[in-house]
Amino acid sequence: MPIQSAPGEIKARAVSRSFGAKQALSQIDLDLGPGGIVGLLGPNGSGKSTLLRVLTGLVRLDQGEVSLDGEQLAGDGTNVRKRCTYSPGEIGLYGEMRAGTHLDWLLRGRPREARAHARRIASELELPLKARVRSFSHGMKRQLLFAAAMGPSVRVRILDEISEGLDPSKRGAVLERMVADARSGTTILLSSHHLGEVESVCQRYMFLSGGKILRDEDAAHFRDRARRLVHLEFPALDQAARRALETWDAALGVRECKLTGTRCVIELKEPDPRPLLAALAARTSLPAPREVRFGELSLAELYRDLYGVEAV
Amino acid sequence: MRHELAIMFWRGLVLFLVLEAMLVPAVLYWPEFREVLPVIVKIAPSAVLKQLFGGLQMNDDGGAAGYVLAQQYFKACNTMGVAAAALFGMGAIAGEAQRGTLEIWLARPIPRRRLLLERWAMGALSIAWPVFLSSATIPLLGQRIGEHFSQSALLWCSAYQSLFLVALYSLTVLLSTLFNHPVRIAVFVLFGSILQFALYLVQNLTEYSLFRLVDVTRFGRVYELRAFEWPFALPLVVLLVGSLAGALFAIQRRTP
Repeated sequence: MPIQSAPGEIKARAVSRSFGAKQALSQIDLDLGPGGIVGLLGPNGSGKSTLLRVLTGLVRLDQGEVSLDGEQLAGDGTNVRKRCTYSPGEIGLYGEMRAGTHLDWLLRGRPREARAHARRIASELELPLKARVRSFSHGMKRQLLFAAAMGPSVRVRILDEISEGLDPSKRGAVLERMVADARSGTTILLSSHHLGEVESVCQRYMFLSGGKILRDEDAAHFRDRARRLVHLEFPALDQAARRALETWDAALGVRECKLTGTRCVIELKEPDPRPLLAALAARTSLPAPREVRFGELSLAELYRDLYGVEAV
Repeated sequence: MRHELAIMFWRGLVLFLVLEAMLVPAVLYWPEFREVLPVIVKIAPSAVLKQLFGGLQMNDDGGAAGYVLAQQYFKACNTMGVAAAALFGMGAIAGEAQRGTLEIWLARPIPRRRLLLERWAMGALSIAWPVFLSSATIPLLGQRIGEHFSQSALLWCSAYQSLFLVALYSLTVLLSTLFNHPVRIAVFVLFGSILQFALYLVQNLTEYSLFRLVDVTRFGRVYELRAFEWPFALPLVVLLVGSLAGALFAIQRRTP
């Protein structure tokens, strides 16, 4: 039975793709939309761009199925690309073309209104449509791709690094437009290395690593979990102290305790840290923490926990 | 599409000007060349060259048609046309990959086969129309030297020459669809062609050269018959169709 998606949905089952010996995607399952912005996160080489290319039919699947906005991915993916827009992460444009002509070129195969809409967006972003693309800065080229991706009236948009290289004001304008579009019911799959923007606009975060989904987290659930987290930073921890931190009384409402170096993150069952803090104060065998935080978790911290490296 | 049409026009114009620049002095030189042709045939250092120059005299016009066919097709089109086929074909897909535009080229909601066919057709046209147009000027140039050339026979010769060049161009497009380095592709095709031409000039190997299909004898026959000689045209059709079919298959699997 082939996989089916409703309007505005992106579904994938057991999607795999390898390039030679490298497994770029491995058994990926997706159920996205309809509506909202989903952030796709992960370090370079984690498979984000390959996943986006696979969903739009630009890279063939080795195995698995994809259905997007009610259309099953087949052949060279033209049927799926008619149902969505895609903006690639790598900027490769024809420098000799004028920006307006290039927009029309990018939107070949789309209705005339899409071209007019894209030109309006480009004008609002103050792009000089009569100038040749070779005179554009990196950020301006990115905006041109953004205008092309936002021009057509579709229910799914797949955007790879769409705000990369933009100055803060243009980044704001781009994100604002994306949020408004998602509010109208469009599903946007956004790949980004900019955790701040993902945190501010996305309703769901998907973390990729080694071609697999490492974590798929709802933004509301993420915020709810953040309210139940206690972060402790110690100057140093010996073996006895580590053991003591890992063995909390269940009555204190501790769900999970994670120790990384001198940092300890404790997830509580309820958003009330007082019993834990009282017990911590009573354990004089533990060194005094250098920092205690409660009710906070940034996407950057989650990224660090998942990948073991600091993110921007 | 307008972008592709513009490229087709400008590339074709450059090729036309080059062909015309080679053709005009060659045709105008015919009266002087006619005087020395028998001597050239006599002193030609090899049997292949004797055959080549002797072939010019195959018609009963004293050799004018053979001379012009040799100048326009065997010399100009076979050298400049082959270069054009390699240069126009090398970047068809590999060029997009190298400049980083392959992804946006393929990302539009247009079937890949259609995109490739359009590109192939524009490239083929940019090779063919200069051959036809420059050949069409031969009867006019002939009037300047008091010679008559058949326009319809020249059309057949142009079609045959275009078939050869487009077949070679299609092979280059196939290579461009399979690989990523346009310059390497062009070098491969050009060196392959030079090797084939070298084979043509070696007496015992001339029959094995691709240029045997487009030498003065062949064009002389096409000019006389006003039709293709299918035993010679068929391999070119097979090369063209096979290369194009291969490219259409390969583009479906191409990763941006």
